[in-house]
Amino acid sequence: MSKTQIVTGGIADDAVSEEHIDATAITGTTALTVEPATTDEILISDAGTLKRLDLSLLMNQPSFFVVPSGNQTSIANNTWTKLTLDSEVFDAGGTFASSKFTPAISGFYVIHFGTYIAGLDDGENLNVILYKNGSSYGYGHQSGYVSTTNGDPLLTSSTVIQLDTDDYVELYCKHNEGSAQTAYAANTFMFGYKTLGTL
Amino acid sequence: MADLYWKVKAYLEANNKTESEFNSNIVLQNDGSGDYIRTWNVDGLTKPTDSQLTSADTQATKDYNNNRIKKTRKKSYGDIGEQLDEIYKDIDAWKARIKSIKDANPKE
Repeated sequence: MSKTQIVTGGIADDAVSEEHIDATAITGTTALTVEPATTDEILISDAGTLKRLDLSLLMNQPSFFVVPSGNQTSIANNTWTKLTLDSEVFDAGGTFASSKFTPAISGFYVIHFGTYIAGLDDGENLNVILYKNGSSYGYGHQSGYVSTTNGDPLLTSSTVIQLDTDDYVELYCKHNEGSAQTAYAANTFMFGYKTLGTL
Repeated sequence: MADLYWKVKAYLEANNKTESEFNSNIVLQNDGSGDYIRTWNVDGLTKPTDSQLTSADTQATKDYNNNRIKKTRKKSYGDIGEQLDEIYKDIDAWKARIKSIKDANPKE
């Protein structure tokens, strides 16, 4: 193996190139056998300049999956009603609170959501939609019409939404059964994550 | 006390409007602290005050109850295809059955 003589006074800046580094510098080290922590770092060339990259920037975070802790009763007729999502399955980034997702990081987010109300009848409907900053967000609005007696509409939908750090997203539903209805916890949910490569 | 929807509907109809206003001119909402009128764009009719909504409650409750009766009746009538078959076979028997359902579920 050829060797490079280290000159007196140490190695000059930018003098160590790839021919001086063996792959065992990677393969000989202990393998990480679990998902990297968000604070782990790797070294990259950013347009020719070496930089360290926090792995959180390569993860789809913030991300969350939230559900209700119980059935939500008293959803009034023909009234857009905010669904309570107070049980966090996970909240990577810690930005979901009070049934509301506030990302804290700007970007495009994929949001999936759904709910279920039993016992609607012929000609009645259930709607589910996201609200962004307190107003309905049309993309992803799902409306399900019932064509039988005692139909059980279960709606799910998804969308992409651009959010600034302090924007917030909530889940609403509406029905026209005539009397107050219950949204069942077993089928009510919202989850989402930040996309990569979209900005 | 009737839900806000039924009180607003009663208020509309007392002022020569119809519930079709809900299609695009009225939005009711609940953010977790009770139902309220989020949007009101009814031509020629001002948004009702709390007092006006309270005044509409008697009619609203009646409308609500009649809506429940209407739904109960409809379920008892059964599938429209089956009813057509009933009519074809014995229209008098069908009329008698429908009447018995109406009598058992009178509107207010």
